[in-house]
Amino acid sequence: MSYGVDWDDDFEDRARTYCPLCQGAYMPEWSGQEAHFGHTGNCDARILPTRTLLRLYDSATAVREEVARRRSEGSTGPS
Amino acid sequence: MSQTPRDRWAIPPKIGYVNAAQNAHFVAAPLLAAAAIGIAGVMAADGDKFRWPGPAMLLMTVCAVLFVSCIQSSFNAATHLFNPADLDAWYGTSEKPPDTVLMQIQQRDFQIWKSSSRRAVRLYNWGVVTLGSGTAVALSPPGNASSAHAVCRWAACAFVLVATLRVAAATATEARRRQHGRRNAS
Ligand SMILES: [Zn+2]
Repeated sequence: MSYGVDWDDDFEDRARTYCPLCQGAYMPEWSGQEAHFGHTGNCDARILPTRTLLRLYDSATAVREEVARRRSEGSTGPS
Repeated sequence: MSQTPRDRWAIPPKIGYVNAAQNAHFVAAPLLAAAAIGIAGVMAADGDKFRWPGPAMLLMTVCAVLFVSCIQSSFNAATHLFNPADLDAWYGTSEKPPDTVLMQIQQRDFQIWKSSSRRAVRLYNWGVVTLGSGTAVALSPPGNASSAHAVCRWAACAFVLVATLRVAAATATEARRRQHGRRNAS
C-alpha cells in the first residue's frame, strides 16, 4: 500500500469480476497474497490461471470450454 | 490460500470503533499535528529562551509527520470499509452483483481496513509519544531561569514525561502482543 492517500481502485469493476461457475470473487494482489479468484473447493475453474479467467469470466460457456480443453490436454493444477 | 467467507458480512470487533477512530484520526490528529508545527515554529523563532530547542524541534517535526501519516492511513482504511446498508444505498434500484460476491469483497476489504486502521492507531500513539516527549523537552527550564521558575518547569516536564512514558509502554506492549499473537497464529 502507498504511504499517501490511496485512490487506485474500482469497486464496481471488482464486484462484477467473479468466477461464473462458483461466484468466487476476484481478489487483487494484497499483502503478499497474489491476485486470485476465491473459488470454492470443488469449482472446475480452479485449474485455470487467474489471468486466463480474467479474460473469460464474462461467459460460463467459455470457462467450461477452456476447462475441458485443458483437461483433454492433461494440464491441471492452478498456477 | 485461505477461503474468504462468502456467507456472512464482516463486523468490526467493536461497533463503536469506526466512529471513535474517525474522531481521533480526522479531528484530533490534525489539531495535534498543527500544535506540533506551531511549537516547532516558536522554537525556531525564540530558541534562546529554551534549554534544548534543537531536540524539541526535532521531536515536534517527527510528531507532525506521524500525525499526518496517521490521517493518510486512516483515510485509506476508511475507503475500504462498508456494510450491506451502504451497498443497498449505492446500488438503489439498479442490479446489484450477487451477495456471495459482495460478501467476499467486503470480507477482503475489511481485512485491508483492519490492517490500515491498526497502522493509523500505531502512528497516532507514537505521535502522542513524540508530542509528549517534545513538550517535556520544551518545558525544561533554560539555564538562566530563577529557581522558583525552574522548579515549576521541571515539575511540568516530569508530569508530561510520566504520562508520555505510560502511553509509550502501552503502545510497545500492544505491538509486542500483536507480534506474539501473529507468530502463534502462523
Ligand atoms: Zn470458481
